This record gives sequence, C-alpha cells and structure tokens, in this order.
Amino acid sequence: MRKDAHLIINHSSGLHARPASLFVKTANQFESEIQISNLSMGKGPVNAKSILSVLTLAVGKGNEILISADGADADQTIEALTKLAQSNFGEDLHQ
Amino acid sequence: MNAIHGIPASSGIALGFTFLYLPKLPEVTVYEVGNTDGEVKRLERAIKAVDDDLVSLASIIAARATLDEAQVFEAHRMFLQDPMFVGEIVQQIKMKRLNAESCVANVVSDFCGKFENLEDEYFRQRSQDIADVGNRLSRALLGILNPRLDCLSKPSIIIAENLFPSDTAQMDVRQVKGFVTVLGGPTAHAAIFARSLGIPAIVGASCEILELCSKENFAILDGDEGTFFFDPDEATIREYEKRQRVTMENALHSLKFANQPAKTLDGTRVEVVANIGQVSEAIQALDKGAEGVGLLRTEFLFLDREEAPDEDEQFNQYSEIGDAFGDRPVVIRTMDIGGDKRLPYLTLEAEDNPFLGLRGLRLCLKNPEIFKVQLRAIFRASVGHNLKIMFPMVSTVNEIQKARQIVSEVLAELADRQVNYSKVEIGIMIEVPAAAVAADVLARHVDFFSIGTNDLTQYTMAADRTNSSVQDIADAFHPAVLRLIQQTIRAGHEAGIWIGLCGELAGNPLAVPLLLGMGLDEFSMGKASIPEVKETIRKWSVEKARKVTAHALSLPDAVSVRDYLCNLKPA
Repeated sequence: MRKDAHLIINHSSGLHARPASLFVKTANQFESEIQISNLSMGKGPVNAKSILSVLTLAVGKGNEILISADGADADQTIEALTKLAQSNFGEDLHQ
Repeated sequence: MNAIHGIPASSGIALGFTFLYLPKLPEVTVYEVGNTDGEVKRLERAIKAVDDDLVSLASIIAARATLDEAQVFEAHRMFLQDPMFVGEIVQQIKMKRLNAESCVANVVSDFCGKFENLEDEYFRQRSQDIADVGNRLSRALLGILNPRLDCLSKPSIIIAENLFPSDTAQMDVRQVKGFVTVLGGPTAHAAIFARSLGIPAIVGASCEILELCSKENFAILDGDEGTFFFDPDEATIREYEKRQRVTMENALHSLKFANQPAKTLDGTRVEVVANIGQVSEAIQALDKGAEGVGLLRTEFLFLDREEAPDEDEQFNQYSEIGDAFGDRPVVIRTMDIGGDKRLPYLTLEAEDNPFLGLRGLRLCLKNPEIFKVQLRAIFRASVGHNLKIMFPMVSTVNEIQKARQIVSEVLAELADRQVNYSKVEIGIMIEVPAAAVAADVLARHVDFFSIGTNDLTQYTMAADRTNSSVQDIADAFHPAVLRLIQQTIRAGHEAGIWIGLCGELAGNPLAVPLLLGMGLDEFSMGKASIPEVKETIRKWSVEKARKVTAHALSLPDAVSVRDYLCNLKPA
C-alpha cells in the first residue's frame, strides 16, 4: 500500500536541527519505506529515515515537501508525519 | 622568536610548552579484506564505542552548558544510526571488499560534498558535523585515541582553532596553563571559561599560530597585552618570569586582604560582590572576599531538564545560597531565557533575532505561571536571608508595573497560605539602551538598578558580542557606553536608589577609576576578579577618580579610553 502527502514546512528554522531529528525519529517508528522530496527546491526523493539524507534536502521555512510511504502501515505513517508538521513540530504557534 | 597578537581575553602570564589541539582526520590507508563479515563486525564495534563516547560527552556537557550544546551530540548519535550512512559503509565493505576505515572515509566525503554544495549556510555547515563523526569513527577503527585535553602529560599552553564546550568539558584544568584560540571574541565560551579559572587567554589570534605550533615548543602567553611568543629568547623569558613573579606576589597580596572592605583612600566604601550561577560557587566566592551576590543567575535551575523546577526545589536552592551568605545581600535575577534556548516544558518560538525577541522579563510576563513559581520560592526563602529580586531585560515602565502586579498577586497567595516572607527589595537590570536613557523614569518604580554592561554594550554598539569580526566595536570602554552608564548612575542617585554593575566591566581593574568616579555603589563580578578589584579600589580616591572619568568620557573611542587608563597612576 502506498500513500502520499504534500506538506508545507512552516517552522522558522525549516527542517533542520530539532525539527529534522523529530521528523526522522518519527519516520523510524514505522515499517513502511518512506521517501521525502523538497518540491520547492527540486531536491530528492531521499530516504526519510536517514537524518543525513533529509538534511541534504535543505528544506527551509515555507518549502513544500512531498512524503510518500509504501508498506502495511503507510496510512498511519503519513498521518503521524503530517500531524508533526502541522503541529509545527510540537511548537504550535497557537498554544 | 615569533610574536603573534590577538585579543586579550583573560589576564595573566603563562610560560610553558605548547600543545596544539587540532582534531584532524587520521591517516587512512586502503587495503583489501578477505573476511568482509569480520570487517563489518569491526565497524559495528567502532560505532558502539563512538556512541558510548558521545553519550558520556553529552552528559558532561549537560551538567555545564546549555541544552543546545548537548543537542549537538544527540544529532551526532543519530548519524550513527542513519541507514544511508551506516548502510552505505557496510555495502561498500561487502562490495568493494575494502577495509572499514577507507569505506568510512569514502562515504563521509560523499556526504560532505553534498552538504558543501548547498546554498543555505546552516545546511552547508552540517558537513562539519559529519566530518567530526567520521573522524571519531576512523579513530575508533584505528585504535587512535580522540585528541583529548584530559590527559596532558605536562602543564601546557593550549593552542586551538576554537575551544567548544565539548573541549573544555573534558579539559584537565590542572594541566592547562592558558590558551590561545584563533576564533572567538572576549565573550566567547573559551574566554569566559579562562576567566572563571583565572588562567590567561588570548582569542582571535592570527591563524598562522596553528602552523607555527605544529611542533611543540616553549612559549609565553601574555594575557594582559594579548601577545604570544613562540620560542622566545632568553632575555624575553627572564623579563616575563619576573613579571609573572610580580603578578603572583600581587595576587597573593590581594588575596591576603580579600576579606578587608573595599574603601577608597578618601574613605568611600563600595560593595564588592560576586556573580554566581551555581550553589557550589557560593563558598568559593566567599573565600575570594565576596561581600554578597550581585547577580545570581537562576538559569541553572531551568535548563537541561524535562520539567520546570517546582517551588520547593527552587526554595531549597535559594535558601542554600542565602544560608551561605548569612545577612549579606543576595540579588536573585529571575529567569533570563529567550528564543535561543529550548525548554521542553515551555513553548518558545524560534526567532530570527532572539537577542531582540521575547526574552528575560518579557518572556516571564507571557508565562506568568512559571514566573509566579519562581517568585513564590524567592519570597519563601527570604525569611532569615537578605534576598533581593532583579528583573532582566526591562525596556519600559509598563513592564515593571506588570511584574509588580504579579508580585502582589504572589504575596496575596502566600498570605492566603499563611506563609511568612520578609521585605524584599525589587530592582531591574539596565541592559537595554532605552532603559539607560530613561533611567530617571524607571528609577521611581524600583529599589535598585544593576547595569548589565555585556548586553548594554552589544545593544548600544549594535555589535554581536559573540561575533569575532565585530569585537573591536563591541567594547564596553567606548565613551557611548560609558556615558549611558554614568547617566544611569546619576539618574538612580537623584531618585535615591543604589546602583550596581554586574557585567564584565566591573571585574576589570582598568575600569575601577571610571566606575568609582561615576559613583557606582556595588561592583559585581566573577569571583576570581574580586581580590584584585578590591585592591585596586583601595588605591584610588573618589576625588581623583572623578577627574579620570571626566577626561575618559571626552575621548573619541574605546581604544583611546583604554590607552588613557593603562597609563594612569592611582592616587
């Protein structure tokens, strides 16, 4: 089973340091193979479970990313990663 | 003999052999392996060893530095579990049948190449992190120890490009006579660390020093002038040995009188107190002659933890420091944290300019619950101790009024709980230029001021104090900064309140006549500077100091002020 999602990264530092490591840690909780691309910069796809690969995408604030999961838990994977990005990596702006 | 100049970061003189601390990639040779499974096992053992190392480094750092710095090691540990990194190394060992360290070097250099091609500066810098992890892995595979500063064979002068908290964390300070770094300014980590140990240091030295010191040799470090002599001649050695002896005799002399009050020749008594950031520093500060605490940084209670410290924990810590100082004053600065720090229990938005953002009192006013816990703990601990409260990063009267409103709510809650508290003076830091300019207005709302010259300087001069390229601009001796200090003291005195100063400037003997001349009441500094500053105060009269101040304030720039002060004779 395969599932995709388009996300905008709104975190002020983009996908690096803490947000990047949270993203990769979350990805590693699932069985699915997960790919991520930076659509805004035309980089990727790369393995979303690899912190180094994710960092090479240089995702900045406001960039659009595409994530796709392939595996039995693809639904849950995409849901968890989407939630993480939407909560601004646990630093919800509205809290 | 070669002389190299830099920025004097910590005073004193050291003579000794150099030790070049330059973590570099070890020599890697390439050879074929027969047993690739064995080679993968060897790689796995090395990964485990590096991981253990990083865990222990992270825990040493967490105890000393900020959460951000500890997070660097967390990121490095993630690299060691990265499937595209480790996976690729394993793949190469199996396919190419080459030794593990050569495959590590290949994969690291591939990743470095990818990062170095990126446009964004932050992402480009990650090549440094992967190179660092790669070096650790190679060293583990080759059985080479990581360059460490905890096993120096003899007392040495450390020469380095930069010293990070991870380097100083594992430094055997008994064997370190001083250090010289190429990067960093006088308020960089390395400089503050040197001053806290009371060892000489130079920062921002010319990078040729790294090449010069590639071979160990005898050298002289002059932390007063910012000069480093490599392979000095006999005459220079003798001159410096003499200066070192005089300095040590003076230091011993100062220490002998450290517990005597700091009274000027014409009988004015000023208070000399300590800046401390840990309970454990209290006793050391007393030994050096501290007459109290002018700045207790409470951040140590809040950083590097998952949950905010509760009221009882804070109460115990404040009481313990209060106990150490008896009836001497202890000024507690409320939490001074901003967007450059991460606290798991507090939502802090990352900011483009954290030093101009929601920090200090501004942050506390937005998070009154955390603020109230701290205030309750301080008021509870005030019974039997001479505690004072100080708010950091104040710009407007309105902020003081809001903070005072929260204080009244806290006092009402304590009264409801039938908890006792004593009268506590409430003051503010003057570190924002707006607060210095409007000091006459702010003074009507508080019991005291304490001037934070580090931030006041960087905000007034618009020069980041951690940026080595603008260090000459971010100088507290600039007449613009000195005028703001004078204006603040004058406005405070007209309103009948006392004024302290708790920035680096207070601990600099050079600044003593200036500050005496301006009428400063309380000098607060790192404990190591106390004996010497007390000694210097005793050599001046306020009358003479006033003339010095008047002249210094008329000079055009920081360099001329420093030159003028260096050539002064007291009394």
